[in-house]
Amino acid sequence: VTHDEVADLLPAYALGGLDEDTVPIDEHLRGCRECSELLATYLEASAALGEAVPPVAPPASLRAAVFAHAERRYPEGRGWAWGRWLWQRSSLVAAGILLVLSAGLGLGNAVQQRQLDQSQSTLALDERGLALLTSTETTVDRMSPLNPSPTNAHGHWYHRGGIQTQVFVVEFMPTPPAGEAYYGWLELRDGLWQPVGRFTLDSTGYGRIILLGGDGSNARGVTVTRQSGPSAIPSGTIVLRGPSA
Amino acid sequence: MSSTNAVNFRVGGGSGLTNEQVQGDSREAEARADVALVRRLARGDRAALGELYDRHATRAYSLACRLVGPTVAMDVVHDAFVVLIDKPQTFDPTRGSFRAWFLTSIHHRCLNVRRAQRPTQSDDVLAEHASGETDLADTVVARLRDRTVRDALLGLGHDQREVLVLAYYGGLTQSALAARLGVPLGTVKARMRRGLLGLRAALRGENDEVREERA
Repeated sequence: VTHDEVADLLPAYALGGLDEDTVPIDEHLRGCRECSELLATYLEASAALGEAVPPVAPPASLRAAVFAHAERRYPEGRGWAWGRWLWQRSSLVAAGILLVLSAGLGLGNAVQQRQLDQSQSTLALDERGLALLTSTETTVDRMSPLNPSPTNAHGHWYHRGGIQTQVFVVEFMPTPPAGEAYYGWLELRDGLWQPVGRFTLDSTGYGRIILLGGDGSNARGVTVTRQSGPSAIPSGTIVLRGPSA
Repeated sequence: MSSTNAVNFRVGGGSGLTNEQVQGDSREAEARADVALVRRLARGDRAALGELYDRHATRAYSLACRLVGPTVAMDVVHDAFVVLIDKPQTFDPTRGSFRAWFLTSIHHRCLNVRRAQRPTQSDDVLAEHASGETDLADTVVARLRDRTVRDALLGLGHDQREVLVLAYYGGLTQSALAARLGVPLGTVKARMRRGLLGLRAALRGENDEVREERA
């Protein structure tokens, strides 16, 4: 394609409205400063359209998957400090890590990148959750039921400034009705809600979620809801809230 | 009168800066910080990734949710970050800000998904108006959260607003737009170009300057 043809197509390129293959345009852009600057002008406007939609907080699992990929890509990053610390001090943790790694490596030959990222994510969550729980500097906020609970249902939110890990624990939770489950939410200081995830309960009503990324300083509280499925903001019934007064 | 003088006259003293200029300065500082973060990421600094994620993930995920729904949005945003992590050099600062580049990456990925999975399922507004009612663009604009962008769009002519909205949020290509609107392809291209430039000028407050200069 010629320079003039590319320049003619750049508005549609910025809006995602091209009928043509973008590869020749991308190739031209790499060598043409004039077209690159013209495209930057159009992209400034089209990006504003993208920013104008109502905000939706991404789920914690997205952050975990992204960071798991980064850990594999940059294995010597500072984030491994906690992992090395645990490795040197706990044979039990080391065995667990080996098991997860083995599973991850075994899968790695047969599955797609995203599945491997998920395995790495599990490993990273386990490491960092344990590190947080064993720190004497960790803050523990209690979550209490809004209504009296015959089962003594309650929860705890573990977080520490500067440590990009949070742990959410619920205990003695009654079995939810069929089709419903318990979900955790961070209530952020800017008014948005960040999904924490779904609690998987054992037979005693205990469940935990380890959230990688974020130290909790941007949140003013935690809420646990009972609802029929995941959602962008809390729905269903609020059952726990914290920190308790 | 230069545009700078016009701006100072309009504000009437003080800092001599319009809100749009203050926002513009902030945007430029943000853009410079993003470039620095991408360079750090390219050197393997994962803390830089954390900052980039915190600054851009919500915008990216919000747009993807709007275009393809939350389930596919997860994959789209994840894949975009994977490309950023693996090939940070694909971001070229000469083509604009990281914010615009990353959102464009998300937008193009979403449109690719939608075009492969017609009819669309996530865009209720466009689905409701599949018959092609004339106020479709205005209906979509009215549902936008950002008032500045909404007002800027409403300040454009309807023809320009229509092609921007149908292309960006509806995923219609130039030729599809020409067929839908019953106008030549060249007309669609011209409306896109003028619409984008008009939107950019409005967001920068340049339209007000022009009006005041004329007054």
